[in-house]
Amino acid sequence: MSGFSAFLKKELRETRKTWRLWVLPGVLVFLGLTVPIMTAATPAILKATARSQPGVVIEFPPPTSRDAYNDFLSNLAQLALLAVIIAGAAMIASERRAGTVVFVLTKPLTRAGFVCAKAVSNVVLLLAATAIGAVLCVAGTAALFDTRHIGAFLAAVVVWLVLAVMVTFLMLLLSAWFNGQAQAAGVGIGVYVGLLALTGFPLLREHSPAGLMAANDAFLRGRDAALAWPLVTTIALAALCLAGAIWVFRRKEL
Amino acid sequence: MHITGLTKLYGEKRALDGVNLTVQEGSVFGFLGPNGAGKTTTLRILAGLARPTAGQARVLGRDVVATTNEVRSLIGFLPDVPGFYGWMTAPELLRLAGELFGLSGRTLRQRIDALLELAGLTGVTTKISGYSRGMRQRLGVAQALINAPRLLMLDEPTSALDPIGRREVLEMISSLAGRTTVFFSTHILSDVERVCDTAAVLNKGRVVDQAPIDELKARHGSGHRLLLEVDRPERLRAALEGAPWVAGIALEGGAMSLEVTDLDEAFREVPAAVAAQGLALRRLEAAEVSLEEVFVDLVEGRPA
Repeated sequence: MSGFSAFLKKELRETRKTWRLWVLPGVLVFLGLTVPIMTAATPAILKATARSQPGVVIEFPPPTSRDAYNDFLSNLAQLALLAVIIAGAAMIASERRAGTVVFVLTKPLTRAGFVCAKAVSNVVLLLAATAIGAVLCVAGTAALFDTRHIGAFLAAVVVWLVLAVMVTFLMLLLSAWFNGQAQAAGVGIGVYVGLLALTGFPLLREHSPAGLMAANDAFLRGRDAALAWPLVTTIALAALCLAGAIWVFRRKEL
Repeated sequence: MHITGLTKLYGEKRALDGVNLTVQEGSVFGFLGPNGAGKTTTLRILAGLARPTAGQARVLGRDVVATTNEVRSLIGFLPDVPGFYGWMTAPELLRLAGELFGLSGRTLRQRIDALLELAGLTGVTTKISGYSRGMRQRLGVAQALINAPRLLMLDEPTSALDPIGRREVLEMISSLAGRTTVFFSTHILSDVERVCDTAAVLNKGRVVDQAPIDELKARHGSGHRLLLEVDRPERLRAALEGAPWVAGIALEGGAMSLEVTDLDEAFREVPAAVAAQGLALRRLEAAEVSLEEVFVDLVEGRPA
């Protein structure tokens, strides 16, 4: 067994045995379970609120499966992406703080192997958690509404995954760069806010990862989302971040 | 291990200033120095965790910077504060360490069992997060041995341990003598006297001397020293002061400590002086120079 595969095996076991299992998967499973129910219950909740305030009348169109999927995708772009950032900030910084990085890197494991194993294990976790969350959301939506829009929803989830992988690799780079987890998380959140701000500028949105953040609604309404440039730039940025993480970590003194 | 001109700068600070060092295969080598002398920096460079600013370090014929992975497969390393995965048990950690070296199957199982036995951790099923400092340190030595290394490098392996933990770790190191080369940094001189055959003293980033321990003592023991007891030491002091072979006289309680330049002459002249003064000689012996004296001489720069 090579140093890389031994370390990857450790990473995957660590995911099962520690808090890592509960952060991102916890958020996605929670969203998958609760979003369809909340979408279905929203009109009843609003009516109940309105009844307690005489004179207030709230007209709410009956929710649809598209609303449920839209809510889930909106939460992916906000809550789940923040969970990716927070959990990702610990990827290398926590091993450095605990001294475990010295334990593994004084054995025949290269620094590139260390970073790549982190990347693979975190992408596997992201894929598995997203798949479970999406399946739960589809099941709940089908049970409470109907089975329309599933294809468009899954396509939008795949697009979100591309963005989330890029953010994971960005966090890998920041975690390799900064000595502290909080610094990496802070800069990661700053980048996230920057991407959100870019969605307000059509030209930049159409040529950057910000385009993926704004694509949900277009997908679900069957409109052309013009994703070619956002996908190309996101994939290119993901590759750059991974290469950058390896480059930075190789130069770090431990 | 051959280190030549090893230099490490952190900004303006010179952590290592042209370190030259040779460690012979099979020796248990003590790397001594006060806190901040550069011991840990040297070990971090040898382990591939830091890069030298200048100079070269070769381990088992290989350059540690150019062939980092090749060197790592031949060495075992224990840092000063070992970090382990707290969610693992000792056998799980040793398995991971072995797998990182490419070990598997029966060979790995046998080594894990043998090392758990050596570390006194056989049958311990608790997670590492619940281990005492001593248990962690013993596990640290065990994981550093999983690949049966030709060179074992230990950074201050006993500095934070209580006397029992220290004894246990030193016994582990002693048991390796003759089987593997041990390079062991510390500022605890008694540990070096107990387990090492050769030592180097590092001070302010430079090796000030290195030799077998007896040779170091002979070179840097501030000359020779005699301990003697007589009934009236003040009278004897007055009689010996000014003698050409006397370098210094100190009275401690009823005993006299005499620094001499020529031990044979001192053994002839002291009894004669005692007899001439009509005193009773109760004790006369040559005192062994301690490593502590050697260390203080070298670090404080007293002339040999």
